[in-house]
Amino acid sequence: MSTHIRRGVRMWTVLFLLIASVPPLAAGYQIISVTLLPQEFYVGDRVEMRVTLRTTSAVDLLAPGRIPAVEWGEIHQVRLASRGLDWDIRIVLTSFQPGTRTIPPLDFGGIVVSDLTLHVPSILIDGRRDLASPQPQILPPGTRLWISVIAMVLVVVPLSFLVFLRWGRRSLAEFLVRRRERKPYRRFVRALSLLSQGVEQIDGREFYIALLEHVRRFLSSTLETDCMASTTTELGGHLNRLLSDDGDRQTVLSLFHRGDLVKFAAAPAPVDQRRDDISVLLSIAERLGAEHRSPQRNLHARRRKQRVGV
Amino acid sequence: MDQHNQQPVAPDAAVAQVEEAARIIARVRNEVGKRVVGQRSMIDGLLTGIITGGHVLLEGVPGLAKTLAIKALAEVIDAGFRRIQFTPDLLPADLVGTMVYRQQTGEFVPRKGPVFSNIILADEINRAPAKVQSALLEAMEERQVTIGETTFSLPRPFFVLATQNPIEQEGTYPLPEAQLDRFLLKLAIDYPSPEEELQILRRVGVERDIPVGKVLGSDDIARLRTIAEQISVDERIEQYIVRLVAASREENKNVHTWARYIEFGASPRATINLFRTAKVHALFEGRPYVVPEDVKHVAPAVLRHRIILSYEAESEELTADEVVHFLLSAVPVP
Repeated sequence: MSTHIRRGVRMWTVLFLLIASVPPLAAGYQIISVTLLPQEFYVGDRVEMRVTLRTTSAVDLLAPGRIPAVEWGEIHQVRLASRGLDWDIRIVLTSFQPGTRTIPPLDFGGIVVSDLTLHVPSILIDGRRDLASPQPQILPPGTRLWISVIAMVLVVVPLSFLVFLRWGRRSLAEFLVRRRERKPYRRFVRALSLLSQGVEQIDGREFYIALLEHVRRFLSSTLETDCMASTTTELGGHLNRLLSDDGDRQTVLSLFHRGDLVKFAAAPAPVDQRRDDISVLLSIAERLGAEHRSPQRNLHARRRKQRVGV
Repeated sequence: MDQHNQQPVAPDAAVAQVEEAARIIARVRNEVGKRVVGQRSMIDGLLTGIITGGHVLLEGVPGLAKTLAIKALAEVIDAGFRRIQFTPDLLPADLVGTMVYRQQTGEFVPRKGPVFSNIILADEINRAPAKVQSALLEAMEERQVTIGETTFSLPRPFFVLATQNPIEQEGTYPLPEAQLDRFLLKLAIDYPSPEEELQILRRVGVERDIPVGKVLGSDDIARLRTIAEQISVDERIEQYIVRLVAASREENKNVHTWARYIEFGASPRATINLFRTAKVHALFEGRPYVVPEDVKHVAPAVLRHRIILSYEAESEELTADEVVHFLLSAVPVP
């Protein structure tokens, strides 16, 4: 009896172990959608097949560890993403043969997807077209634009330079010369205008200190010689170079002497005298500006007059 | 006189004083001019020294009437004059004097040297050794001399008018900077113009003694000094003088290009002397006030021996006068 019992127990144990070793039944799935990207593709094109499937029970799927090889082409990649109960499978592949192709079963752990097919159209068969003749080498995008721009630069820049050399250079030089010549004059006139506004309020000594400093600055810029460190006598020498009119020269020198008297010998500086000095300086500076137009500018002016028949 | 004094603005008394000084100076110039042709700046420099009470160093090649001018000036001035020829074997005692043993009394008595005079002509000063130069240094600065254990004051006025030759350097003892600084002015004597040289030829072609009168007494010198002291100097001129001297001590070689030519700048004594000599120059010009011209005119004579040139200046063969010119061209006038 005991032998029967032991046999029975052993049999039930073996039966239990057999039952336990049998894997549970695979979960079911339902393919919701299959999309191909791009939608229009032909043999040899790289295609992404997007499959959305829904499992019948909650299972954890895993991307297949090994991508199966196919004879008709190549499966490059298989990706898996969870969307709740749905799973998104993306299979990137290239088919080198036309026709309907079946993707080999893919084991995602909980399920094995084995009924995926796609139709690979042939441009020759389905499109009813002949093979195109060999095409020339394709240029990288934007090459034509760059070639056009460079060609334009190569043509336009030298052309502009030539045009500038012919007509623009003179005008520019003339403009710069005029501007440079007028700059000290403009600054001088502005300074004298400011000084004349306060001619009655300012002390005589301070007035001549400021006035003579402005004149020195003006002479420095006009003569391109530093007159700030020149004494009145030395300025006399500089003025010989600048002023052709002897009367103007003497006037400016007298002004400097008068200024020195006011500055260093406390000589009186009546307001009328100050006003006169400002107006005399302005008129001399104006004459000077007209006199000292560069010879080139005068030549241009003459040419212009000749052109218009003046 | 320049244009500045065409319009007298100073008080009448000041103008009158300046006119009085101008008359005295003109007399001196006339008398000295009988012996020395041209060399106006040298004579004015010597007069400046006499009026300000400063010592003057004359530098020039032989034959430019340096000694003659000093002798002529000394004769014009009614004051004691002694000439000392500086030689390598000269001793300090030969200059200042010494203690002499008197046999009758058995005691040492001082014997005063040639330095005890109003005007000293130190001829070729750089030929005497340093110890003699030092003895003269004390006399110049302190206006007193120590013989033995006794100190003697020198007579007033006291001027040292020294000469030196810049071309012969062999057997000479260059004056130390400290001693150079004691000289109010260093006058660089140049060759006369061809016209002046022709006049010299005609005047002294035949050797003869041209007499000059003593037209400048001690009272006149004191009067000139008083008038010169009263010459007014505006604050801005004072600032200009200080800026000018300070520029010689400028160290920023990147900003101030002249700074690289100067090893050591002028001392504050230069500032004082520039101030005093500018006043005298204004007096010479007949003005009771100083203008920047006066400062610029005297600046080379005041500064040239007080500026020590750098190696760079020497390598570029620049003279002290050229460096002073840089300074004068760079510092704005008031």
